[in-house]
Amino acid sequence: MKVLGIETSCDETGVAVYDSEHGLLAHALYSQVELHAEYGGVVPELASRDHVRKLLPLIDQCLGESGLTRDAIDGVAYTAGPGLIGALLVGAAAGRSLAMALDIPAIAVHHMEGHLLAPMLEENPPAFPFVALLVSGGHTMLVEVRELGDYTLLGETLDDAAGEAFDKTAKLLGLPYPGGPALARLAERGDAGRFAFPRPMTDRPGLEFSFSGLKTHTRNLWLEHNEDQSARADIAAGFQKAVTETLAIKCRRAMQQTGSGQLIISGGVGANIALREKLTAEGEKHGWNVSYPRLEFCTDNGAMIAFAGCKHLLAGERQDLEISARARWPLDQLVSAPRLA
Amino acid sequence: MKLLAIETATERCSVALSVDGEVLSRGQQAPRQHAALLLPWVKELLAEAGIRLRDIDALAFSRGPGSFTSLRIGIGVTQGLAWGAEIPVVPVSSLNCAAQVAAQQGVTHALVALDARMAEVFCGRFHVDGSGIMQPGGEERVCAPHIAAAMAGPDLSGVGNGFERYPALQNVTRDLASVYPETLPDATAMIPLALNWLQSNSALPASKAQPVYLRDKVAEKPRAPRP
Repeated sequence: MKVLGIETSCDETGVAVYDSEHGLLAHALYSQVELHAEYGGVVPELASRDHVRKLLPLIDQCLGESGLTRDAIDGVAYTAGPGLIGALLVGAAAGRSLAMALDIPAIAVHHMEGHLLAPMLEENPPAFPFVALLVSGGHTMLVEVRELGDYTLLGETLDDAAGEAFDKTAKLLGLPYPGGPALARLAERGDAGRFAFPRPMTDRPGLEFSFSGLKTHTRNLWLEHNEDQSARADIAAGFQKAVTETLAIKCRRAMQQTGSGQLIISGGVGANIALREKLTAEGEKHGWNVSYPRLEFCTDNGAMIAFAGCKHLLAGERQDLEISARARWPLDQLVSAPRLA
Repeated sequence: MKLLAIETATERCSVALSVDGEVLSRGQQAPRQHAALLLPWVKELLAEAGIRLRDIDALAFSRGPGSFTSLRIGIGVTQGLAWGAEIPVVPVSSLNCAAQVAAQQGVTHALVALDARMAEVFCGRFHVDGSGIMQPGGEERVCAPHIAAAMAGPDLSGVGNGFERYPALQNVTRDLASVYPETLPDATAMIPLALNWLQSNSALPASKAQPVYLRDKVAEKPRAPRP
């Protein structure tokens, strides 16, 4: 089955064609990062306007690269949420409609499910069941994945997402938008041991996260030391180490709690090298297999939506003609209720 | 000639299908319902006419101006249907469309003002030609209601919800020939406008189904980075 995937939930327009027999045939992405940089953050109306301009050209490009004609597509998968509602509606309206025009089934995909399954696009894919750490600018959560559609939220952030904490911390250190990757580069030159940082929520049981206190801690340190140029890199390094160690501690607990031997990391912060190194080392130490999607599929993309949609379409699921999009869509409303820790 | 038309610029949602002059349609006031209504309606109309989507010669879409989100739902649907079924598209102005609805009620010269929120209206002037088609009489614009009100004249009819929602436009009612505050763009009126457009233009590829927003300043840039 060849499935066209469409992702427009935030500031990236992503399109891909996934074939259940031959794997990923093509994928194309248009990032709006530069458009929003001048505003210091994503402007929802501008994001929607860009999606409506870029979507069909990307679909044409993707189809061209896959060598398929439009009639060879067997299904359409589109991101239906969570995300910016105006942006989601662009992809949902076009995706649902082109499935109707081609007389093929459509499926609405949960954006986070796309991230959860993204490592399965790689060679030697992880097998169900596994534990997934989803870390991005909008989300930080640990999810137990037993099989397709069977997801239990183990814990999530109570305030800022990890990526959001990276971006906000970078901003207060005066780094350009989007600050997360810039902060990671700065951290490479810093001494992570110079300043003490807390490891939030690790002194009590549970799998919840909290990053807003860490951000405040960083602000206070910077106010105290902003005359000292070397302090900037040292603060960045200390902050990054605090986040990666906190994530690693919670992953370890989640693996112990579930008894799983397979951990997957996904979402934009999953591209962070320090986090990958830390979790790979943890995996070696404790005997888990740790899987990541390739760097370009850590951030939003159409490939993960095509893949997740293909799995659901193969399971016989179908979307009716209503164009569905939801700004808020808790992952556990897609699936089983959360199991008590 | 088989034409499908989709109108989503306002809280009214409508679809029309014209098959050799016979027009079938659906439409209703539908705040935040456009996404649920459009495709089932298109399917129903095609079934009633006994044709397939691929039999359609052109797909007329409302290019705006109007509510950004509902406009993009109609345009997303247009892009998907037109791309999938390989049908070309025809842009129709929502203001021109509202004027055409009024023409069906006997209006010959229209000052259209649709609520643009943020204390502004989308407005434009139109006059009917010898074939009963409303033709634009100047640029469409987004402006304060009192600026639109200054365009009023005794030969013009006021058309659109701007005339019921803003005092500056309510106040010029006596300077106008008549007022149709409840008239909104509707897909049935897009059919003659699209056919007229096709007389002097070629239909466009699906990717050219794009909105005309008129309001382009939608966000403030930060003045200076904080230290």
